[in-house]
Amino acid sequence: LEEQAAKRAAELVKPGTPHEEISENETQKCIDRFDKIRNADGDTGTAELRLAMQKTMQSKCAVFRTEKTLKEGVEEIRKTYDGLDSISVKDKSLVFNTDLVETLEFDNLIRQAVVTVDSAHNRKESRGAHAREDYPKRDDVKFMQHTLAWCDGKNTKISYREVHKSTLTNEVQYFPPQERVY
Amino acid sequence: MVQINLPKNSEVTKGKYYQDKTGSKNLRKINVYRWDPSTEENPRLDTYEVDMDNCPSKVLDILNKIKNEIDPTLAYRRSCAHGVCGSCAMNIGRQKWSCMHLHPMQKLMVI
Repeated sequence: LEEQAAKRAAELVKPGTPHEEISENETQKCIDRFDKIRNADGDTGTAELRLAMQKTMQSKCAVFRTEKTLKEGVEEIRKTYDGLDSISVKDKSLVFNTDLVETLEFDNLIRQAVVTVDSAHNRKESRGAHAREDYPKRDDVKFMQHTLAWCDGKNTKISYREVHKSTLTNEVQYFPPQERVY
Repeated sequence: MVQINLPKNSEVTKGKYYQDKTGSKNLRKINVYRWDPSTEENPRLDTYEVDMDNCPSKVLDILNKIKNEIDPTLAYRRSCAHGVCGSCAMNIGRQKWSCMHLHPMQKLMVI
């Protein structure tokens, strides 16, 4: 199989071909984000917002979840998200600037957090590490699917995709997932 | 005896003094040796007043408190924070890992 792939690649790619040009908009988007965060001069420190996010995720979206905690989490994490508008980066240097790095990290993490809470809130069953005390059983009828989440600021769109229910070859049979019993 | 002087651009100057804003009675002054390579300035010794009533006692905890609550421009390397990786090795009187070392009882210390 690898050999075929290599042969096909050799057919398609001519030696010395340069990479495709990346459109100006895409690079500009990254630079704009960086500039915005680097010059952020609000009145809330990154550490304060990060701690708020950590506390929300630990108390509302922890190991054991319920409808109540997740619903509170969905609202609470958005309040922390709004803090992005008033975030501040005090260190303006470009050498070993951990203040800037931590703020970029926070910007990534808070979006992940919003998506995580929303996905967990929408999944009304227990499966793997997602343990809901109000839905202790797995629900293969409704939720044997992957969660897909789109993040646009604090607005998310949750959708689902079917899981594969067949193998790639005929040599092995498909094993349907079963409940784990100990 | 031979007198060894630091080069002019390495002489440590007096830095900023960060006064406590929490109104705590249990303050400790922490001196931190700092240098910003992006400016032409000499290294400096900043002093922070830290509220020790609400701070764990490892040196790294104190630094985290300073960075999170007093001065986010402070930068230092740390990774595991429990005495395994050695990232947070620094000069605390002598060379030590700041995550393993309790702050000395003296009023002043140099980090």
